Amino acid sequence: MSAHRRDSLLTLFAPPLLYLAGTAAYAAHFARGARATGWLATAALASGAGLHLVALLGGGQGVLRCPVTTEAGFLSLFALSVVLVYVPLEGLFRNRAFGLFMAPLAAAFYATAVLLDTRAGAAAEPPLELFASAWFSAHVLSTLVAYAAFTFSATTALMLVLLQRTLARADMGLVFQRFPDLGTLDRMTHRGVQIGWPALSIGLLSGALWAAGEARGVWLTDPKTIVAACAWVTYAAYLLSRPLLGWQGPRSAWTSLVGFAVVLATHIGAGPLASGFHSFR
Amino acid sequence: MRLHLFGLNHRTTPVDLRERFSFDGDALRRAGEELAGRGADERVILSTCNRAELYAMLPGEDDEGRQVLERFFADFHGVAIETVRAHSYHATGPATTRHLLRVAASLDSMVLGESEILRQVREAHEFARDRGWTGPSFNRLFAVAVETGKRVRTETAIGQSTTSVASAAVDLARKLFGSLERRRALVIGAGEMAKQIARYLVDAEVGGVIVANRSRERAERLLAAMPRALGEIIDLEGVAGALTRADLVTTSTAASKAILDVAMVRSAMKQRRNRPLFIVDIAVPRDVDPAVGGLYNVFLYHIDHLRNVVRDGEASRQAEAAQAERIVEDEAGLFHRWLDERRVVPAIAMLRQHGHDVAETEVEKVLRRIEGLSAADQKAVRHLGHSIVTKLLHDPTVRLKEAAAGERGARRFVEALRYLFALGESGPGGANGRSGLSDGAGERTRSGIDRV
Repeated sequence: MSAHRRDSLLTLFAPPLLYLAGTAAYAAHFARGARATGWLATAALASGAGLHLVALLGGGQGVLRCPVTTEAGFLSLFALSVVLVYVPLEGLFRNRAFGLFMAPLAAAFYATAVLLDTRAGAAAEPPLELFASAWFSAHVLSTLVAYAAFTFSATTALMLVLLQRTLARADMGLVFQRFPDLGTLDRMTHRGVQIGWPALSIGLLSGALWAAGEARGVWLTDPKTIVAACAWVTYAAYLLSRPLLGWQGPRSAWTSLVGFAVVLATHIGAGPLASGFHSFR
Repeated sequence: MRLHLFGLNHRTTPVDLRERFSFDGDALRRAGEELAGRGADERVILSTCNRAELYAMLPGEDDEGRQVLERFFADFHGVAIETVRAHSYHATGPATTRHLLRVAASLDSMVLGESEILRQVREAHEFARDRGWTGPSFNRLFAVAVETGKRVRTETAIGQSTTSVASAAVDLARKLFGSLERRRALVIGAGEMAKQIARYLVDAEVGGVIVANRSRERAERLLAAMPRALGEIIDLEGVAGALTRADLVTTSTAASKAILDVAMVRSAMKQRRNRPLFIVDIAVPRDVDPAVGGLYNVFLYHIDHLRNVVRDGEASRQAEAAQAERIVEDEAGLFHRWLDERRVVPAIAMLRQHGHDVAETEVEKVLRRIEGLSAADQKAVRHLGHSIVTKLLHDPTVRLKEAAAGERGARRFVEALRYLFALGESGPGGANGRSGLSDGAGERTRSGIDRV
């Protein structure tokens, strides 16, 4: 039986529906700028995250199982962490344009998690004893932090690319009016990678140490490990290209976006396809 | 007393004549005092570079008020009355309210949607209020005008688009860099447009200005016109070097060939380690080789870009104007409803006072006749008397307020009350001085805007 069927439909689908409602409200707020729709958007997103958190802490199953040991569970927790990181930042920056990207990303991650969970079935759930290892816990936690930071970086990078194009055309439309300035977006993109890259380094290292101790097969040739290492190299290139090549602005933003595409490939491509080391079977 | 508006603006008067009618500095204070001498009970003077307007409460009919203000304008500025008459406009009553609200909302401005006028309206009122030139009606009128201006700016997008070439350049620079505080601007050329952009940049708190010009004297004049000293002057030959220090460049020279070419900017970008460079070229023919815009992290705009921005802005502001007009109508309506209600409030107060005075007199008479009533019983009888009056006057009070807000007007109802209840004549209510529609708090209201 598929794992998600063990939770009520309301418990399972309330968070993504609220993330989608948030997306619609952020879009309306972006288009018209009405204060009420802005608050509605934040409220929808925050309530979605609240229900998501309660379901996780309340002993949910499948995508709502905590601690996470499956790809689906990781993606679901990833969706939650994106929202939990974003909502306070929205208050800090006093700008809701980011929500236009963050809310649909959270909904998409959650939906992918449900799809993966349905596909994998209950057999995919490995024992929770894995978390007895400190290395394994550090591996999951640090990669979660890294990917949340990379998501934020990719969002601001995408906004930077869009804004750069509108600026080049001297177009003072909605993107011009609603987005923060280009310099701020560049700094945010950089900061996301500055946080994400060390966290990913810790994640890869702790994962390797745990795997070495467990002696669980040939982890170095596992597709997910290889793709994650590619992401690590891409973001390392991002960090080095700024001081060495003077890659500020669009080039830097594109590097961040490529890095994020590799991250997505790690979890949505290589993860589910891998029948090897990361499948925990 | 009637509310009058008398003035002239950019539509009715050319700038050389408009300058003569301004009320700057001490003239504003003197004008306010002189207007009081000509019977203006309340007055506010709004004087900006685009308009000179008097809002005044004057006795007499419409035409008398117009003549007083016309004469004042001519005398005060030493201009022939025929000239004043030829270039001015005059309004009374609701038309005055609507005009002021439109002014505050920038709907009457030379550049639709500009924000400066709202501050000017607020300051004109504060200046008058602080000198005791205004009363409750004028204070309310100007508060409503300021509120209308704010509503229009928050509820419509009228103030969101760029209003001039210079401000378009600054808006684009801000979107690129955020704060300009730590940015330096290189101004190549010292013509009028260069001066305008430099002024906008300084207003936007740019960190420094470098002026490059053939004539050092003109460059000095440009810097001297800035509100704060933060400039340096270089020769045109020093421009290449300055490109590494400045993040914003404006060029507006009359040179026949390009001042900034690709090789020069590419070399500068290398030294800048690709830090973004913002260039505005408003010269015709162009000062900057268009290929410069293709270099990485160089944002190049020429005059047509900026003109298009201003034109698009005008179109979007025009599209918002209809909604802004609705807000003006809405607020003007609310203000006149407030005035209408104020008009009947004194009458209602006097009617109720009259009723309670009668009740008190009659109850006391009865209490004197009946002996042996306890204090509690006496209190109950007094309460009965006042309660009957309150109940009896409830419907007339409500209907009078409705009549005040309606089209029929309240004056005839007020007159009827005065006649039917003998308000204002000697009697139970008149003896204590509270009756009479022309005394107390009602005076200013009745003699004010409500009549117009």
